[in-house]
Amino acid sequence: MNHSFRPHRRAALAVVIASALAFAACGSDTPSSDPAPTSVGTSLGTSDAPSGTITVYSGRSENLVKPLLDQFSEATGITVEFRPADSGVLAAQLITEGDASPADVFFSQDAGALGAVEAEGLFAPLPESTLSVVPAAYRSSNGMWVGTSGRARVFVVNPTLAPDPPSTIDELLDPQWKGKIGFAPTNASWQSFVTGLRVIRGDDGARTWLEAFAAQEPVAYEKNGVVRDAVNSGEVAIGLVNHYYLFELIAAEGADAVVATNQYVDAGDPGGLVNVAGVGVLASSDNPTAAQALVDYLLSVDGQTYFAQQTYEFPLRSGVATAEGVPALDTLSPPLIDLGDLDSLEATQELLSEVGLLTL
Amino acid sequence: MSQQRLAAAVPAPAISPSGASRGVDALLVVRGLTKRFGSRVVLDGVDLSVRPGSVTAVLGPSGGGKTTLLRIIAGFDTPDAGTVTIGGTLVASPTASVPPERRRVGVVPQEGALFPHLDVAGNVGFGLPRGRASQLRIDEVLELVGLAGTGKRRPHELSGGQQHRVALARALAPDPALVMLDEPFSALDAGLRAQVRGEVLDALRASNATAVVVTHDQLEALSIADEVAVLLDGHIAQAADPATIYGFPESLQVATFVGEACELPGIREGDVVVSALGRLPLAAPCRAQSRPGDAVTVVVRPEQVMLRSLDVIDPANNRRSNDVATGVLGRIASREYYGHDSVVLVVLDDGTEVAARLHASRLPQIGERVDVTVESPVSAFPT
Amino acid sequence: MTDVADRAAPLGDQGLVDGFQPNAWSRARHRATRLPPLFILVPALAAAVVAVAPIWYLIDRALSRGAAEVWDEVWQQRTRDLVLRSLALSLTVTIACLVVGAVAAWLVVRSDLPGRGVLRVVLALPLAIPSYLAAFAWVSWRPSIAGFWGAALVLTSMSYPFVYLPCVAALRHLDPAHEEVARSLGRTRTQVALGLTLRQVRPALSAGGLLVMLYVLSDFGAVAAMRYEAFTWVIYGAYRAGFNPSRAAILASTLVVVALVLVVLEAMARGRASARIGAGNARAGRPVALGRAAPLAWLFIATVLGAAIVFPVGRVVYWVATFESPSAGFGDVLGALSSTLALAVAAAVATVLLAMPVGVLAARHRGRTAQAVEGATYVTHALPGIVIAISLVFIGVRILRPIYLETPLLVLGYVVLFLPLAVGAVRASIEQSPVRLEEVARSLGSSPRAVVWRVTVPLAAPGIAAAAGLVLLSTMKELPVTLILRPTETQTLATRLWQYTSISDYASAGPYALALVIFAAIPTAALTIITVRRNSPVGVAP
Repeated sequence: MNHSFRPHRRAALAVVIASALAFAACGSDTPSSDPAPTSVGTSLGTSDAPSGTITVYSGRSENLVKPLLDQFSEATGITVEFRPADSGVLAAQLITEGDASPADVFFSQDAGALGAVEAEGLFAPLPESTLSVVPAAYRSSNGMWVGTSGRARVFVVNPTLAPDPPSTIDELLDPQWKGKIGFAPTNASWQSFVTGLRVIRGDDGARTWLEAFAAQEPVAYEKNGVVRDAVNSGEVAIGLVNHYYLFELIAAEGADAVVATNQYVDAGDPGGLVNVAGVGVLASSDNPTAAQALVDYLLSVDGQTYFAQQTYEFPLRSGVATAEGVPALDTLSPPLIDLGDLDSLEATQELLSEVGLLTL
Repeated sequence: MSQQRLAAAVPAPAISPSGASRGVDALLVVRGLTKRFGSRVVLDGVDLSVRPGSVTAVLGPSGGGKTTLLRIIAGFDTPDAGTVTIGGTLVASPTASVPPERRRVGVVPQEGALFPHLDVAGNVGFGLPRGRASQLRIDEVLELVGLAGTGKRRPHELSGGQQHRVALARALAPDPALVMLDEPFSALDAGLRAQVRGEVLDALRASNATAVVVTHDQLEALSIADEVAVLLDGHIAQAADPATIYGFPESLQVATFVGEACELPGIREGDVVVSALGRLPLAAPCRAQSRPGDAVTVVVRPEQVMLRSLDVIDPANNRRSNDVATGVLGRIASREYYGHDSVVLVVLDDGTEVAARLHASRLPQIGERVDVTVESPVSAFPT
Repeated sequence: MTDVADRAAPLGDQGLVDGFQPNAWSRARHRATRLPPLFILVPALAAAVVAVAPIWYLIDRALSRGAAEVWDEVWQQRTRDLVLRSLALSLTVTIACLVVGAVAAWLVVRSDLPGRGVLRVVLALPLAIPSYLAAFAWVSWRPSIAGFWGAALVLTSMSYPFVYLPCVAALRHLDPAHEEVARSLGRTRTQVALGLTLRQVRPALSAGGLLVMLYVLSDFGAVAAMRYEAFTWVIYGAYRAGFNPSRAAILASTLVVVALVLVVLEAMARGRASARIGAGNARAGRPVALGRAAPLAWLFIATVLGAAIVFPVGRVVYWVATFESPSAGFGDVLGALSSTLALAVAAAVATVLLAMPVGVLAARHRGRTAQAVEGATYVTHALPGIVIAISLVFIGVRILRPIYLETPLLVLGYVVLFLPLAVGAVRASIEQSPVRLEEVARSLGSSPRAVVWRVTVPLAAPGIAAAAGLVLLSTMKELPVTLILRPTETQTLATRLWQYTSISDYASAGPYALALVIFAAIPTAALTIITVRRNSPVGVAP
């Protein structure tokens, strides 16, 4: 009697092989994330010109910055591996990876995430030649990261409903605006504004203002764009958004279709906070020259013009013009705070939660 | 087929009544097997021997541990105490266990338990190596169970009886040392049961297999087995050939479990017991169990009870036959008609009730007076 | 699948409700007679290790700032409020899912509702719709729906199939004789449905309810879009706004403890009834006539399907139709679709291969080891995807560097996420196939290992296929782990959907959303049909 016969084993093996093939199939679509060894060869040939491949963790969306990075690749021959996700999640990923990170460059949507990565000592210092392009207020005080474009908080207003709009955040608390203000409670820029408010007025001052604001019964929307549309359509009179949302609408619908206007706040008022998107080079980068080349490209006239024209943000390099209708950054007088201090967003969320503005 | 059955029935039944003396050449030897589930003792020192080539029935009431015994012999369970030896090899003890796949014990569960994902040939060939020889063996065993040519059918396309024979073929195919059948025919309806039983028995005999059949059905055990082991209260109460078990039970429990019986109080006097049925000779195997003068329970099987009507006029001398009564007198109280025979309840003149099995040819009337006698020796056990 | 011993027992012995004759065969089905064989135990332990791997990260991170901080964080009033808020949502959704799932299952299995054959499959399809998509569909229509009830609505409509599916399977396995006997003993139809039938499907309800609870605890998409401050949202906030992985880890650990408590409670609630769901009779019961309640039943079904399928899918179609000039090309959608499918297949195969030894262990070798291993696969099920993702980053850069940000690590992430789903399905199907067949195979000379491949796996094939389907569709919908761990340049339908919705480009997102829903619906329908048909005549009797 022979009991050693197991035909079904073969079937099981076939399943394993099939799954291995499936692995191979999805792997083959994707270029290896290892830095291509050819980088060494080409850099030998062209002396000091950077080349090879760099990996960019980007909190800025693919649709927004991928065309610019493609231009960069075309101009320099450097291949960019682009990994988009939320800025804060990428910061957590970088902190968790530590020295083993495959990333060369962190391109963040806001200064807070950059500050968090800087605090872990993961950035390499940027050269003075790079830093000096940008005003001191819009870069790391330790020279670890640099802003690439700016955005200002504004009141987007419907002139019919608000012919005499407020120009400070305290004027928003006037009873006439009760129930007529729209905002996006989960939006990062709104929360950055509240963080700035805490930095400027202290936690108690911020709480006082937020409680009064909550008493105004503001209308919560999903996103800034929806707030803007609500203002434009007359659903609410005033919206707390970033300056560029209005210009996006004008570009999409034409100036005639847009009644809303931007109300820039008074000089020094916390409501006019200017935050930046920025970039830093990881200390663990194995291709720092190529990484540095990308940073410089983002700060070049071409790069800055791209942000100014495509996203209606403020270019941070002096001499680069803003888009039509967008005021120059130096005509605004935003509150003077260190953007690196904006990494206490979590305390902000707690405060917002306590006054009932987070989960409205 | 019937020739086969006749031939198979010929082998001499074992006459030796004692289990121990047969242990020497036995194929399966179970010694002192004990199994508890929690505080419940299911098997309590089971001893059992099975001769090669025999069909042994393990007969016991439902829930009496028969299936547990089968599972331990097959290797699906381990005993708490005791041993199982198959073909001289120790396969189970509390400390050592040969896994089921190396015991060469074929199992035929209730209702067959065919593999639903395999066809008949796949089921029968499950225990065989793949190859030409196995294919021949599959055909051979299917032929043996009378199902030649059904190899491509799926289990659910077969009748209950056919499924059962496939399960038997599957168990027989690898030529096991021992085949065990668990309540093999209980799920079949009465008409089918006798037929399937015959077919299964034919196949077992034809393959010279040693078989253990677990059943709670006395008639089934007595009719198919060379040996019957009665499992009561967790141990084997008696193991012997069917005629001995039925005719000469060793205890009152066995006597009443293996067949219908009237229990009558009595007194032993010498080799005779005295009861409401008068003085009856005590069967020899029972004599060791009691001493003269003991109060005993007399066991009388209904077919031992003979009735003669006294309400009929004897044509020979034109007198009522009660004039020549030879036994005890009584009156018919009720009757149950079964077709091939009937059982009547007789109330003796002293009020004792006695059952008698009669041929169906003549049914007494309720209230009819009868003369009651008992044929052949009776069993009796100390009270 | 039928247990012959139980069926053969007369009804009187079997007891009307829970009980069945505890004979030797049925006892054996649940008793660990020996230690599980190594070829089951070792891979099962490996699966358990994979499943609890994120705990390593959580402990490392949580303790990185000292135990005192952990204590402070956990014992804050705020943390307690969070636990309560999450539990409130979880309980509300679970109760709603139990009601919707059980009633829907009863209507399509036991009533004479017209079209119930088709409805049986359609009612499971909400599984194919990602919660973030459904939530966004609602909140973009009426922003005021945001909050607790909005989150509860979306989560209920998305996750009631976790209750509905096992309930349908259990109802189909019920022996109608029980109901008939109860009726003959003078119980009314309603009494039978509420008393007898409900109690008999209790294990299915209990297991499904646990899945819903854990799913709600771990969901981010719906609570984020609905702005309900549940645990996961705050954990995400700790990463996204607080840049504070330690705090996220502490909160996530708290969530694990909550999940652990729920797993234990469910095991107690399931009780002994889990021994057996039904007698597995192939005979279909006579459908209960709805009579005048029929319009009510229709209203119920229409409401459920309207909220769970018609509305969200309608919104997606509306986006595609309303917004002009989508920037997504057909080729991009096709590329994302093919990599989504490839990843999903790899994840399904890997997860099911690991789930099988755990399922065999849990179903066939009950004991402390089996309980611990099975429990381990459930514990991390309450963790939000972001925590799993970051923990795999942690593990990846430390011990799996060669596959970091490569497909195998991503697939490992899916395994960690979806192992509990697969284990549940595999285990249930193995439990339903009679252990006796395996014993017969052993007596025919098959080794324990051969028995697994020749008997256990073929018999559990429907459950294994259902498990694969469940993993397949869950992988297709998955976002956070995919986003963080995917190989650079690999785009799936979910990552594309995120990419476009995050910049409010619904026109471009539309085609990806449609493709995702349609292709996730295929494994959903397949697994539903498998589950529903599981009482095909695989039993032994004619």
